[in-house]
Amino acid sequence: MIEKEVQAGFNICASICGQDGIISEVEELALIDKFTSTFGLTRGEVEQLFEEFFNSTEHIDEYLAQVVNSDLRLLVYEISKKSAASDDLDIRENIALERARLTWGLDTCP
Amino acid sequence: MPIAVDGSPSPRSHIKTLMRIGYDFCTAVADIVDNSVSASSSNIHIFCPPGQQHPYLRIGDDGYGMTEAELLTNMRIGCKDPLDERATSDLGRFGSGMKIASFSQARLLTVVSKTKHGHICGARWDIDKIETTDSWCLELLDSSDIECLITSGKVSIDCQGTQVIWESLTCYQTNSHSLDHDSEMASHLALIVSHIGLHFHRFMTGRDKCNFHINNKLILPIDPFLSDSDGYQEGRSEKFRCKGGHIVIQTHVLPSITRMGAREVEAMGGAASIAQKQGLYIYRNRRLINAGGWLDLAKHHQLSALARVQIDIPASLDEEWSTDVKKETLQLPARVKRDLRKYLADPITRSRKAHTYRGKKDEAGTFWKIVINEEEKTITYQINSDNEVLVALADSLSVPNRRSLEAYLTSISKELPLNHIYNTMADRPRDIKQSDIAELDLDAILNNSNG
Repeated sequence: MIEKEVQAGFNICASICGQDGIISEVEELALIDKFTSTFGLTRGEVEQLFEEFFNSTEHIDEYLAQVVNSDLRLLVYEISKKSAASDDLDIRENIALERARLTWGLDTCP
Repeated sequence: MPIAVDGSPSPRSHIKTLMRIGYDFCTAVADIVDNSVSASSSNIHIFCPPGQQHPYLRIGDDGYGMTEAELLTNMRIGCKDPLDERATSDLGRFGSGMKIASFSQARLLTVVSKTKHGHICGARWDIDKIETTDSWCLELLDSSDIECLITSGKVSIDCQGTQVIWESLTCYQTNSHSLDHDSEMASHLALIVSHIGLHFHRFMTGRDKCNFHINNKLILPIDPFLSDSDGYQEGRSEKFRCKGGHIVIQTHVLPSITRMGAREVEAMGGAASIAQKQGLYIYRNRRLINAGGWLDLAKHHQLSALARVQIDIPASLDEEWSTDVKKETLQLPARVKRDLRKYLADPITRSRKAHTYRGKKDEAGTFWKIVINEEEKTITYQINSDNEVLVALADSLSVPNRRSLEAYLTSISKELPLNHIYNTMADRPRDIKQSDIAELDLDAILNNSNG
């Protein structure tokens, strides 16, 4: 059973990487790597998270509101940043990342 | 407050619209074949018996078939919501293709089906009846109707499967004086062979392959990338995660036309067709829906003739890619367009290299000079005046004769049949055999002129 907050964290990362509804292979592999190694999820569970993300219609703001743990926020932010930057951070990804940072009030360099 | 009134279209008029939605014979047949593939068929037969006074076409399969209730549902136009999720093997979209494709080619559409353990059932749309009664009067066939079809040879189902029968075919030019029904249908079927061979080529190989036949002759797959041929180059590939799976991009460069076998060139429609069909090959659930063209992402160019980019998309992206009812056109989403540009450069460059390489080999060498003036944007092909043989010859001539030779060689350069060379290089490059030119018999020319 995947924790709700972790799922919301995953959806934030996927939203940032997949600004136009698609996630590049490099970003996908980076997300799989981070969520299996950091949260102990299996590959199958991450696959399921991808499926559920693409079938969901929620906005990134709703996912941001679902993550309340400050350590998790920082972790999700870092994972998002690294995954999105894995194939060069484009302007839209950068804006989404900034949105997460400002919404959560993270004290981290943009 | 507005009052709702019945604004439904008149069936009599609406059917005429549906008949002209833009299918041609090949795309219409392919749409029926889509259903057969979706039904997990191992064999699909397109059959049009010759010598019929009232010709008909049957597209039959040995797929899982339909029960009577399923058949009636599927005979309704728009029986499926395009937004509904579909199985990954389902090639349909709007639930209208089979009917509209059939109405575009025939006035009588009969579908007979049987599941493995069910009984045979059938239903029919008759456009004459729709027009006469001005109603959507779908006919459910009874056992005697079906028996009649079996006896006449129009239907033949063994264990399971579905057969679509087109009668009162509208694809015939009834006023044509030059063609009889058989030869006209033969030319239609020849087009079908290459259309099905190309658009369904990925279903024709592999472990779960399906055999496609036309009048009992097996249709062979046409691989648009010639990936098994000598000289084929596989390029970059990339996968994108998306709703319902992955978009997979794979670049290819065909072997240069001179390295292709004559049969390969013919199967690809000739050299001109190879150049014309450069570009994007988009597959939806392995079924080809866009065969070439750059969709405004790159310019069509003779030097990029060999460049191909294969894009595989899952059917779950229909909405984003705006696939139409005929599954013939689509629009690329903005980000895919943006990302795709990165992949176009590679096959185009390598296609250019293939041409340039040949160009260097064929270079005019010591006899011709290619003068490129970038300032004036001009290119001229001239006799190379530095050629040692020419210089020696000129030295041996008197001044007047030297002038005559100069004038003659300048004329040769000016009269180079460029348009013919360009067209022939595009259409029939393999037929050009410059090395076969026999030596010029100057004595014979002189004897003729003296005689």
